[in-house]
Amino acid sequence: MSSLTYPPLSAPRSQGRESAAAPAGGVSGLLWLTWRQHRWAILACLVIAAVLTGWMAYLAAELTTLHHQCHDMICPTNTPQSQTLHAPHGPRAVADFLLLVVRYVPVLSGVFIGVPLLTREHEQRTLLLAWSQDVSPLRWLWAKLALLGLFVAALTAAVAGVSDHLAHAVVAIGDHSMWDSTHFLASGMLPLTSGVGWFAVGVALGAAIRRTLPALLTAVAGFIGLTLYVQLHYITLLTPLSQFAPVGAPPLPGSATSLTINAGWSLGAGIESNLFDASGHELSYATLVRMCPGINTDHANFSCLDSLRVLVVYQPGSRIPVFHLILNFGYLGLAAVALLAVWLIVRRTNLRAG
Amino acid sequence: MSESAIAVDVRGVSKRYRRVWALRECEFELPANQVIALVGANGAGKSTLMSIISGLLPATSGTVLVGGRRVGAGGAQAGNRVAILAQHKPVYRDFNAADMLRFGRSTNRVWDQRRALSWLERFEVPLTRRCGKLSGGQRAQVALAVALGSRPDVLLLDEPLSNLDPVARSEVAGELMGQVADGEMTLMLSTHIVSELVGVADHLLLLDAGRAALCGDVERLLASHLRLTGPRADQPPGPGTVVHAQHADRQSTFIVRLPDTPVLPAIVAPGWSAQPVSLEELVVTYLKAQRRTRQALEAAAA
Repeated sequence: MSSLTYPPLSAPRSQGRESAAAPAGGVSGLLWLTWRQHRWAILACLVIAAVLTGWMAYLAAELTTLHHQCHDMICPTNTPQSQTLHAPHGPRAVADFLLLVVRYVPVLSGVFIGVPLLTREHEQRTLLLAWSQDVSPLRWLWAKLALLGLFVAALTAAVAGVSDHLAHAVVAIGDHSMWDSTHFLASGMLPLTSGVGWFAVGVALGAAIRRTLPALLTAVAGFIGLTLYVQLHYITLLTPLSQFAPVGAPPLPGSATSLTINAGWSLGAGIESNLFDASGHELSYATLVRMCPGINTDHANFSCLDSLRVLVVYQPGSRIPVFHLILNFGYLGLAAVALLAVWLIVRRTNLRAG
Repeated sequence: MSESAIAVDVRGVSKRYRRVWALRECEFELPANQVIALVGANGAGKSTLMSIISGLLPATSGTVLVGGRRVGAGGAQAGNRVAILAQHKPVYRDFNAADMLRFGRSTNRVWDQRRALSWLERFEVPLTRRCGKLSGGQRAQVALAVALGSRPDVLLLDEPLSNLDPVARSEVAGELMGQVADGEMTLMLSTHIVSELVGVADHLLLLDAGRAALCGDVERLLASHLRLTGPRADQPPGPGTVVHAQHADRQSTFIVRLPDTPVLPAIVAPGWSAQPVSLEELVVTYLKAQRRTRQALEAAAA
């Protein structure tokens, strides 16, 4: 069919032009675009988060019920409640597993939502299409970052709230402390700030590497590395407190919520004993042998040490919120650095039509 | 050319990628509301020039004015809306054509849904099929519909006909001309296939090795060039600048650019004939001449 057989495609500009329903870069337009481009990742994350939070909430309720049945005390062994709690696949074991899973949720936000934000555009060569419209590249980027960042924050906030509740329920029924890495790293707002941080890191890696798989693997490697580092070093974020205690004395007041780093003493030539006299001087091995003859033999009598004290090094439970705060600021700082990197990379990205 | 009639004003624009100059001191003006053919060999700098005009790529030096306003990197500014369609005709593969139009509506200040829809209907592109499942030609039509729907003041199309079959090429070229005639839009289309431009382009910009080798109204350019054929001679038998000379044993052929005078002198030398040149011949002649000049300069420098 000849083109001449068709009516003109449009009226003259003055008649045919229609303003867009919303101004370019308006929230509704970019909201639709963000949803349309990332809907499967958003839905997958929603499903995972819903299953995880639902399961954790159910377990927390179950643990709390058992705890109440034991009169809010640790359930004595051989009671039905104790057997239920400590069954191989019982609520306690599953709760610990889910709290471990929560620690890995943030990497999902980085891998499934953060990384593809720019790599998909690079790989499909659609960045020029996106950036050549009236919406400026930076507005396009910040709008998408804000929308997806809010989604990640809302999702991880829900997970963080429920996992914090579960961690406290687990600690209440057993002999564990909130300082244990399983509970500490899955409680407070850590899943939220960590999720936002790794989302931003994912975007930055995507912007820098421009390929999904390498950026994804780098994000996973970075996440594992940083998580292990945090796990190994979080108890030393602040200098531990110390306090003298008599040898063989009962635990310090509040020790149920404290993390004891060192409370023991030792004997041996060249080894610090951690035993102190009344004036606060640490006693050497030679002094101890002089003071307690036979202490270095198999038939030692340690009653001569009763007058001495050990230096207990610990982190009190009251510091847990402070430690969480420090880590939260760390993750938010990571997010800020990553977003700065994204901004710099995008500003320096030159596109050519050919 | 009056200020209001100039769509694009390029002043001393250069672009360097590391050590390679893609554009060197480009200087030209392009008229508004016309079809401008940007022609050049592969690597001549056509895509770079279009990217700079669109504001996506910053120039190393020089300035570009679109509609009298300076273009800066980072997208369109108020008043000088430029749309660019890259050579590979990018579309979101998991979007259908209707989604692509919604994308255009969501990201542009001005959107003409009727115009974009009409284009897709005209070329029978199904609205509900994912772009990834459309043919290359249909994807190109979707990309063109988005570009046209945004009602740009200047539309830059990089190799717009490359994905299309011969029939579609002719139809698209015709429709694009119709769009320029109907609306207040300047259309620049780049190609290295000059035959596609015959009857389409109003204005020619010939780019060679990053420089504007020839720029002007197509009809005037064709009218001001002649092919002179006659007995072997070192010079043509009339006034004008020799663009190209070719000699055989007994015959010489010159492509001559005639002087810019109101009344052209007649060629009256015995044995000589004058014939008009085609657009393709004109372009090829200039490209060859530029290449010879470059080679001579390189040889002199060596």
